Amino acid sequence: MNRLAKYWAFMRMGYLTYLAYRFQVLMSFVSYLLIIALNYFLWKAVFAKHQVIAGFTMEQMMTYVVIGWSARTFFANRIDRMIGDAVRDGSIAMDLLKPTNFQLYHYFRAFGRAVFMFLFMTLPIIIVASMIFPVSLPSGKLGPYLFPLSVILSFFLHAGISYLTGLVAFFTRNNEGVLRFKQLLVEVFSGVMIPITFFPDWVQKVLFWLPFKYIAYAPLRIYLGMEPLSKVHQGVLLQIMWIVIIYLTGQIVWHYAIKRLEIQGG
Amino acid sequence: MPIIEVNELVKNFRTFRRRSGLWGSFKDLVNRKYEIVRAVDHISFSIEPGEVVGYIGANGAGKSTTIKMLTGILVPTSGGIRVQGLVPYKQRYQHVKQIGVVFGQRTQLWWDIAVIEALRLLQKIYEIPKADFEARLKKFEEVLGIADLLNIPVRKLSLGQRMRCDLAASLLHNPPVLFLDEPTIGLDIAVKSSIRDFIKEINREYNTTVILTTHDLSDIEHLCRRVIMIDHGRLIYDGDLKSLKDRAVGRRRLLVDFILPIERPGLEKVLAEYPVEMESSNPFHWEFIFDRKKVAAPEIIGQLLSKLEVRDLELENPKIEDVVREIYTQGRQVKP
Amino acid sequence: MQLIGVLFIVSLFVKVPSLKGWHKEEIFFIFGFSQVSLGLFFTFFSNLLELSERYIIEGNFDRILLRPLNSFFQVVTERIYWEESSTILVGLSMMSYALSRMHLHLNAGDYLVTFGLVLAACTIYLAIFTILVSLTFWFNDRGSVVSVMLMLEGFSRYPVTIFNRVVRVILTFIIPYAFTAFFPSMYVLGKNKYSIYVWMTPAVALIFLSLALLVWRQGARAYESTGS
Repeated sequence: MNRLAKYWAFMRMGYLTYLAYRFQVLMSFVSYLLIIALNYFLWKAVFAKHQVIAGFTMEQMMTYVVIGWSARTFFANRIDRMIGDAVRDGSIAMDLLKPTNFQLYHYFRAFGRAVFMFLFMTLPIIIVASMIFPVSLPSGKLGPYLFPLSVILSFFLHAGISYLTGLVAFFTRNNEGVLRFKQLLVEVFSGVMIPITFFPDWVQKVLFWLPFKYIAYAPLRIYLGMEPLSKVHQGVLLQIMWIVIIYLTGQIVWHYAIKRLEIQGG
Repeated sequence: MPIIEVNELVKNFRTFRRRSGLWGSFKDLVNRKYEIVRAVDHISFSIEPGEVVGYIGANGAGKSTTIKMLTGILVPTSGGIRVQGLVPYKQRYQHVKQIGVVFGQRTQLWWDIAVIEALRLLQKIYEIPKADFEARLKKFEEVLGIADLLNIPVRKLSLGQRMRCDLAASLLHNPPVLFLDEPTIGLDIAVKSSIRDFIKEINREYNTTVILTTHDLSDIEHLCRRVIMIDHGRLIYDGDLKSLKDRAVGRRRLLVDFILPIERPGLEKVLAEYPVEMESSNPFHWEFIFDRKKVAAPEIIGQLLSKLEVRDLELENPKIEDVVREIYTQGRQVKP
Repeated sequence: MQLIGVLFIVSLFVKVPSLKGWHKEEIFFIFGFSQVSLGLFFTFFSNLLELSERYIIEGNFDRILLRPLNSFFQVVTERIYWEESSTILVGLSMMSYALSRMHLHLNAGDYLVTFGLVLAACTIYLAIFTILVSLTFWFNDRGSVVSVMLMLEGFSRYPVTIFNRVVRVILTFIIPYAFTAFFPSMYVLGKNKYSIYVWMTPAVALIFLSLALLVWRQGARAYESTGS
C-alpha cells in the first residue's frame, strides 16, 4: 500500500508542477489549435479532388487530425530531457538519494503531468476544435471503450521510449543528439504527423517491427473504428507487449548506467 | 562498532580529451582518447556513532566524490565502504532510507512546487508514519523557523531559506547518519549560525552521526572535534582539530589600515625586533605575515598601536587552503 | 526539428499528386523558399529569441546598455547559430529539386532578384520576431508567445490560396507570413497575377522592420526606466 502511495505522490507532484506554468500552457493550447487549423486547411486542399486517400476519407482524416494532436498533448512527456538535464547539471545526485525505482519515478511523475494535460489541454482542445472543425465521435463497437485504454497505454509506451533515450545521457553525458533523433522518430512514425498508410510500402513493413506506430496510429485506428475486432485486440496486446519489453530493457540498462555515472565537483 | 567504515577507497574518472580542429573532432568520433584522473586515492577511515566529523580539503581535493560514494550515488573503482552495515551502491534502496543528505549547491526539493508539498512527497517516499511526520515537521518549524516558508514554491526561496528547508527535508525520516556537503556555502552569518546550532542540537538529541564537508573552517570549529583532511585524493590528516591547527597553521596574516601613509623603511624600523614579513598594495594598507611559533600576534599588534596610528586591523583566520599548504610544505603525513 | 515538416510534405506527395491546383514541384519550391529565409533568420538572428531568458532574466541586458552601441544591433549580432544553417541547406535542396523538375531556366538576373527576395523575407521574420520579443520588456513572460509564432510559421510554407479568406487576410496584412515564401516565390514560378505582391515584398519588409525597431526602442526605454 505504501508503495502505491509513493507513486500516487509522484503523480501529484507532476500535476502540481504544471499548475505553476498556466500561461505557458495557455500558449501551448493556442499552438495546438494552430497546428490543427493548418492541418485542416491542408487536408481540405488535399481532398478537394479525391474521395479516399491512403484509406482515409475526408471526415476520417479531420477526426484523425483533431483527436491525434489532442491525444499527443496527453502522451507527450519530457522524461528524456529531464534525465539529460539532471545528468548534465549533476542534480541527478538528488534523484539517486531517494529510495525509489528511478524508472517508475519518472513514469509516474510524467503521468501526473499527463493528467494535468488531459484536463487543461486535451479536453479543451477537443472541445474547441470540434466546435470549429468537423470531428466525428468514436465509431465501431469498441472504439468508445478501448480508445481511452489504448491512449493510456500509448502514454506508458512513449514514456518508456523517452526513458531509454534519457538513460543515454549516463553513457554519453550529452544526450541531445539522441534525444532529437528519438523525437524525430516519434513525430514521424507514431502517426501523429501523417497516417503511416501514406508512407511507401517498405517503410510500413519496417514500422511493423517497431513500437512507434502503437503510440498514435494504432489508437487512432481504434477510435475511427477502422480495424476489425480481432485486430483491435491484437493492437492493444502489442502495445502491452512493447511496454513490458521497454520497461524491462530500462531496468537492465539502468544497471549499467548507474555504474557509468560520473558527477563532477569536489 | 563503527557506523561508517571506509577501506582503501579509490575512484577514477575517465575524462574525454577533445582534440582541436575539424580533423581532431573527426578523430574524436572514431577513436576517443581518455585520460584517467584519480579523484580519490586509497582512503581509509572509520567513524563511530554520534561523531561529528569535518571532512575537509582544498577545491577539487576529492571531498564531494567521497561523499557521493558514501551516499551511494557513485560506484567506487575499488575499495570498500560500509555504512550501517550496508554497501551503499549495492544496497542503494535500503541505504538511502537510513541517511540524510544535504548538498549546499543543490536542492532535494522540487523547484516548482511549494515546500510543504515537497515535504509531504518525501513523507510518502520515505514511508514515514503520519504522526512522526507531523511531530518532526512541527519541531523543524520551530527550530529552523520555516513555518512561514511552507507555502512558497522552492524556486522563490532565498538561498538561506532554501537551505533551512533542505535541512528539514533531509531529517524528516530521522536518519542515523547525516551527510552535509558545503551546507553553509554562500550564506550570511546569521543563517550560518542558526544552521550550526540546529546541527548541534540534532546531534545531541538523536545521537546523529554527522559528516560535514566545508570550505569554511569556522563551520568546523563550531561543530567538529575530529577532522579528516584530504588533498589530491589522498588522506593527509585524521584526528583532533586542535592539534591539526597547532601543528599546521604556523603562519598567520595580520591586515592593518594606517591613518597616515607609511613606507617600508619606516615600518621596518618599528618592527625591527620582530620576525615579520610585510606586503603592501598601497602605503595605507599593509599585511604582516609571521610565524606564530616565533612571535605572538598581540606583541606585533601592541608594537604597531604604540608607535603608529592605526585605523583598523584584522587577524586573518587560517583558510583550509593555508592549512593544506602548510601540511604539504612540512612534507609529512600527520598522524594523531 | 524543421525536418519533420519536410518529411510531412514529402510523405504527403507519395500518395497525393497536387494540392488545390498546385503541383508538387511548386509546393516544394515555396516550402524550400520558406526554409531558406527562416534558416537565414535562425542562423544569424535567432539570438534575438534569447532576449527574455539570457538578457532580461539573467541580467545581461544591463551589460548591453553600458556599451555605446545600438542595443538591438548588439543583441542580434552577439551570437551566430551555425548549427541552424542546416535548415538553409534543406531549403536550398528543395528549391533546386523543384527547379530541375520544372525545367525552369533562370538567368543571372533572376537569381539576383530571388536572392534579394530571400533577404527581404528573412527581414520580415526578423521584424515579426523583434516585435514579439520586445513585449518581454514590458511583460514578464518567458518567451511562450514566441513559441506560438514559431508554430504559426507553418502557415508560411504553403500557398495562401489553400486557406480561407480570414486567414489569407491575416497572413497578408497583419502577420505578413505570406510574404516570407509564397508571394516572393511567385517571381520564379511565373504566376503573373501575383506580381504586384512580389514587388511589395521588399516594401513590406522595410515597413515592418521600421515598426519593429520602433517597438524595440520603446521597450528598451521602458526597461531602462524600471530596470526590471
